[in-house]
Amino acid sequence: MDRSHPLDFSFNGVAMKGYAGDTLASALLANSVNIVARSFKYRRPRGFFGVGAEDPNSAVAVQDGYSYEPALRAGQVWLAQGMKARSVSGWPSVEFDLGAVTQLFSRVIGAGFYYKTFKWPGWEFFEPFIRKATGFGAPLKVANDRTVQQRHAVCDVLIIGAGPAGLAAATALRGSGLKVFVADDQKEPGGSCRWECARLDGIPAAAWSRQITAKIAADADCTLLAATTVTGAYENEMFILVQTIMDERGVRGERVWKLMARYVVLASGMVDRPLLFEGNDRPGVMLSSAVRRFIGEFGVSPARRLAVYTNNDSAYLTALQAKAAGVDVVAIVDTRSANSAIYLNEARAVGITCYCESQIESTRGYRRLEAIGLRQAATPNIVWIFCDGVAVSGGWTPATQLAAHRGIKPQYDAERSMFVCKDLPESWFAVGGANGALDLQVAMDQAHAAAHAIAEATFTTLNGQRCIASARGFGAIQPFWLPAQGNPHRMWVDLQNDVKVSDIALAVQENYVSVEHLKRYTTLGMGTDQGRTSNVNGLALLAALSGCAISEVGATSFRPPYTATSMRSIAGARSGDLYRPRRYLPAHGVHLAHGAVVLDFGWERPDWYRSNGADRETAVRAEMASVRHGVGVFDSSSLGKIEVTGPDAAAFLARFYVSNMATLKPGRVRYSVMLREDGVIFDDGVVTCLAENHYLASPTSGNAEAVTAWFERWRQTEWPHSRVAIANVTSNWASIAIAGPKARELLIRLEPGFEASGEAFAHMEFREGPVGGVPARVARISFTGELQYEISVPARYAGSLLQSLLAEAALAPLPIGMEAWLRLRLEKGYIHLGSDTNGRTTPLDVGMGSIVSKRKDDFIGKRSLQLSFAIEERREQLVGLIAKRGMLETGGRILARGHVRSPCPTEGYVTSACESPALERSIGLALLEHGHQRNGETVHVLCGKNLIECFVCDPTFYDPKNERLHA
Amino acid sequence: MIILECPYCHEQRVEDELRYGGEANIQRATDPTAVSDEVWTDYLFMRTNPKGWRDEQWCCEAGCGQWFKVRRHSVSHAIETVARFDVVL
Amino acid sequence: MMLNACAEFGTVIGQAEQLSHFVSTTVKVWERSDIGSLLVSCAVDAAKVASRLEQVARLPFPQQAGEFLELDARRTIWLTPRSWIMHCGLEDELQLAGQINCEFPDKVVHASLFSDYLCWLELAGAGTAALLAEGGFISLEKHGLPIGHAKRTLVAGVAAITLHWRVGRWLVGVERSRAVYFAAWLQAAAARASKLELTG
Repeated sequence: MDRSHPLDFSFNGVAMKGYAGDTLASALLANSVNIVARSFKYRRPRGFFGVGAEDPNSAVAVQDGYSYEPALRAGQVWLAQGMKARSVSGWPSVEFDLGAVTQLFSRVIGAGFYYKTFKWPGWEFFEPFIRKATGFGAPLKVANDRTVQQRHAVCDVLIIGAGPAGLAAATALRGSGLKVFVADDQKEPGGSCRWECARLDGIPAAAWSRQITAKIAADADCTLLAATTVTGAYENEMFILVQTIMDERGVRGERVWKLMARYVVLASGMVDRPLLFEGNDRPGVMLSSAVRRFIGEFGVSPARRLAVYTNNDSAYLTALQAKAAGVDVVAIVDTRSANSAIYLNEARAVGITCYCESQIESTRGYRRLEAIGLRQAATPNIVWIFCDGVAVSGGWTPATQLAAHRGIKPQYDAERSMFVCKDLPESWFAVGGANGALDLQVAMDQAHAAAHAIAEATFTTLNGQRCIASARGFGAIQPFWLPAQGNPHRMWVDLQNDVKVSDIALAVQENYVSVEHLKRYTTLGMGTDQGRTSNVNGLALLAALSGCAISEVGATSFRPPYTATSMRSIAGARSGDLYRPRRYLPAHGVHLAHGAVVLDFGWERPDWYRSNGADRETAVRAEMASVRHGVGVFDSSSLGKIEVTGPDAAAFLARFYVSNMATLKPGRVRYSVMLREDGVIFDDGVVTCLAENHYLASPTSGNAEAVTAWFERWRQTEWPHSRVAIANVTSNWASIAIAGPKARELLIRLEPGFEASGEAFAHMEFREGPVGGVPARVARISFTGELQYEISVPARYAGSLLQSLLAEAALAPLPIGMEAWLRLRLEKGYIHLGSDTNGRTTPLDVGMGSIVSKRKDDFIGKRSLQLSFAIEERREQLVGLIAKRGMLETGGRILARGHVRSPCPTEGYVTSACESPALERSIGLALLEHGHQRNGETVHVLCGKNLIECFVCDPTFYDPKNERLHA
Repeated sequence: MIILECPYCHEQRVEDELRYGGEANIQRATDPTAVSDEVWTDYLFMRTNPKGWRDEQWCCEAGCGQWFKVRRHSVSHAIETVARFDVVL
Repeated sequence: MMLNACAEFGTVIGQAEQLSHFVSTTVKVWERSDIGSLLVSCAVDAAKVASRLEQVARLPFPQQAGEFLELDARRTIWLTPRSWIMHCGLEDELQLAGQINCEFPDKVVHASLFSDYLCWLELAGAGTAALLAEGGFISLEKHGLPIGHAKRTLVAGVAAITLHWRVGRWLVGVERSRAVYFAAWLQAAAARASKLELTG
């Protein structure tokens, strides 16, 4: 705390003052804010109950110098100049909430109320109304300015928590040469050293922790991360850490670490758990350890007149500390007998009235606690004590969530009445509070032992001394789960979700006796606080009500994250343009210069060009016309190019394609499809034989990497002796296709180093030689049905090649986008993989049956084509459709025979459709049951609301004799 | 996060760099035409999927591209063996 | 007629030119369009052909994973158990490929033209390792990828061949179509780093 450095902030619009070192919670308490939130279900007023991540109550929205956060816990927000905070629940205000009327019906809206009530007409009818009434704040629809950085790191030891035990472990490991990371979720390391009365190595704990922290920070082998929460623990000791980086304006950003460690020291401490009593949710009731920290660290007392309620000795320390700080401590109420309480005389000596063998039976006050009613054993009367705060301590819960992430179930230790992790992974060590240590020296010794065990395992030596602690222990505990008196409908187990003792009783009555069922049925522990203060009490009640031991009941699972983590820090850099890697064509800039409208087709590719028409349809038609009547230029660089080389290359490729690639001669190109082993088409494309033992496979654009991996997998795993090498060279080459009657003329303008006449360079042939003065590979293949060449040059020449082609003004070439290109191939009836095929389509379905039956040798997937599924009669087979009138649409369903209106069974669907300029009709490809036997039939296709009457025909709509592509 | 040391490039590889390839030691018939539909569909689809130790195929996909075998525990994710592909586990 | 070559980021082709638009206080980036590459792949065990290959290329070919070797401004990088990337001058690429491919007419070894497949960036400066580490675990070694070692790994979701070339100097090859994304990612990461540097 730095009282010399005041900070202005506001809460719910009211200007307030705090100091550097305050959390929002401590500053609000210092400004006498009673009610910070409303509970989830009954909208009851809620004050601060805890001090940090365990606080179920204090959800606030915070605007700092950089951004807005809709749901933080006030104890986890460090105060900054100009910070604006507000409550996220309560309407019209948190002080006066109209929704609080719901608590009048609290008797009838117990556990399972929603499931039981909102059945008719259905949950979806009620959901919008219920959602509106719930929630923890709304996001702002503006981007914030918070920087999120990612780091990946590896270390030998990760110490989670820089309290006394964590610091002791770190200091013991110092100088060993081991690379140590220490992470602590507080801005200042030290943990309880900062607020508990203790001495370490002879000096006050706070000074000790500052000393050790400075030493660790100066050590090159140690990385001390303050304000850093370890949010998740994963296999192989992989951790996610979220580090908050602060400046004077509040929080500047987050650094998200993925950290791999060999050893882990879990020193994450423990939290108090509450005692149950009637009206235990009133503002003013607070965990005893939270009271100590508010007083000890922040110098703020949560109450003027404080009572203490406990079943163990630690709460006496709270009373003594509060008394010493000048707080009026009006009573200690201990459920145990006088001879169990070790600090009883000390408390009495400073003038605190102690009631042993007593219970709080009731409370008064609505917006703030006003009085507690307690009953001493063997006395008939309730004694009312006026106070505005109760510090409760019902025992401790070690913070073992991170071990639980690794699948370690905490086990119940009856002696200390707490859940601890007993079977940790070999490389894990729990020390201090996280291991249930109730005495500081024990905690320090555990840390020391852990450091030595790690040193031994890593063959390093430690030279530090064991740390000597002097502090009063937390003493002994006598479990006290359920008071004999008091109304169970007014005893809160989970303050955030309004789960009461009565709800748990109801769940048990309805036989929800598994912890996981209880949790989901009652919402116990399902809030943003993850039940840190409520789970164990809930489990104990379940055990008591169902008549078994706590150890038999077990605990619920914890999963990452440890505490609420913003979606932004999870997303990291993956947003906007960097959401995922985009792939650009090498001539991207030239396309843009020609007015390309670029879309994401896996690669960023031109869909159409503004230079070809004012709107998409006009441009696409102009582009199609240029291919049909002149020449078009299309960038197909993304098409896969895989070099397959070696003495066994031909035989190897033959195993993948339906057509026999072994008979392919040098300089020739062949089209085929390849199958998965289950017979379904996986990819299609051409294979070129460049020379003997040297082939070039061209899979579809999206599949280059997948096909390379496919070849490679079979080579390595099935045919390891096949002498073949596979090299994906896709991006090395830019490929520009030129298509149209004038394509040859255009090619010749580039001065190819080979004869390009129709006789010398026929369809489905390949030439290698210079084009435009640079090494090139040219294939005469066609996707459009026209004379077409595909010119590949090293990618550095892509822009120049494209420019040069488009600059041949005498031939009037147009750049062609994807849409025109796909419509041209549709007219020709060529399939587009993934559009005209689906996850069931076999080569038999797309008219390649004769090729399959000619193959004598095996290829991948061939055997599956004999299975019943592949040869059954009702298969959907590829057909062409010509609309009699109207427009076919992709996805249109084909009505079953004999039906002319929907709803009715369907027998297939349109896989591609367009308006064909060549046919002046709407045409489409379709997968249709029995398709191959239905040539000439009329079918009805439902496109949106329109019923289109079509002829079924052969898919080749355009130039069925292939005269144009052989020109 | 699963981390495996690739037996070919000897680098520790994290999950993102690896590709899982299903159960190991699935035999493809040398002559698929000689086996019954049942044998063939077993090869295609049937896997043992045990709870406990299982032999798997993994690929160092973002690294050296090699396939290898791993004996992994399907509950604890413990790794017993990582071996080159030609090793019989 | 002669087509013109153009580097991916528009720097002078055939030269190592700094990316002037890349802003960072701790890292500088050069586009190395002077580097020519071949992908040399073997159809048989690499050990069987390595010595023949070394003779024809007059270069040592590393047999150890993660190794790269340099000789006379040329470099051979272990890529997989059966392939290497060879660095040479951009103008030597065709000739060198021809030499190797003539030596192995049966194609047990094949050299593919590869200069344009990868875009090579050179990164240098105090913040380089941290910048790369934002994109992934470059190495799970405690002290990072040692100098003189190469590793193919994911950086920012993109497979990248990373060479820890000299002290504080790295060579990173990313597939050309993803290079623009990768550079944009690097720039964004550098901007984030400088934003946080002042405080943390």
